[in-house]
Amino acid sequence: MILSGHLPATSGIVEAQLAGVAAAPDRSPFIGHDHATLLRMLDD
Amino acid sequence: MIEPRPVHSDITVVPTFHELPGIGVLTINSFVLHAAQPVIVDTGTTADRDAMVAAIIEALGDTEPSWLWITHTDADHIGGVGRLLDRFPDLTMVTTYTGLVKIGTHAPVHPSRVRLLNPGESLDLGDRAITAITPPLFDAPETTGFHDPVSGALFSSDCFGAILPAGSRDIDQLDDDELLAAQTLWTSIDTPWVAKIDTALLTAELDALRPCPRP
Repeated sequence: MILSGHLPATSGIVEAQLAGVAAAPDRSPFIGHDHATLLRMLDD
Repeated sequence: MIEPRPVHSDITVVPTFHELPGIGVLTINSFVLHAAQPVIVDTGTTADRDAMVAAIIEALGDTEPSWLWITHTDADHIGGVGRLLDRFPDLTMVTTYTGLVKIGTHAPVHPSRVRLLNPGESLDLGDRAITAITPPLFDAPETTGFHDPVSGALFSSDCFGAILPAGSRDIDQLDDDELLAAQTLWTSIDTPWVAKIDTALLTAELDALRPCPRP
């Protein structure tokens, strides 16, 4: 069991957890939203 | 309301859920390891401090905690440190020297209340010894998780997190593709430098965790 500070605690998904981190290097870093988008989201 | 729940006979998770507009849901967990010398692991945000401390005390039941393991000093992990040290006079915080220095910029903790423990070193809890580790990915230099040989659990600090889809509270609601997307989103947000590292080195670290025994 791998417990994280930021994942609902569970057991039995060790392989999925390893895969999730292993996949990250192929993903472009998250940059975030621009300010106008943020304001629209907060209005919703 | 924060509702502690057991994830193992020796481990209670104390979870909170935070909606991130336009992104999803971030889980912020504290834990109690019910060893002969009980361990509180992290303490939530300052905003949640009162409810989190109350929930941790509920999770402890009739036991007095011996150790307060701070995996790192980000604001979402140290909100309840002062309250818990005040509430339990014999409680000792566990961190690294970097962690002690950094937490001093937020809420100084007297060194007499601290056990410095570096990755690779062990802490005797009476019925077991837990071993400090540096997780494969982390977002603060003092980050120290640990392995509990009794439950087999690896407490990985911020590694292996996920940003859940809006409204979600449980990864069992997600299919495999959704779970993978949730994990890679978190990893890319929390450790953006991961895109710059040697994939082979990361893979080797992850492979080393694969035998991690299940409860």
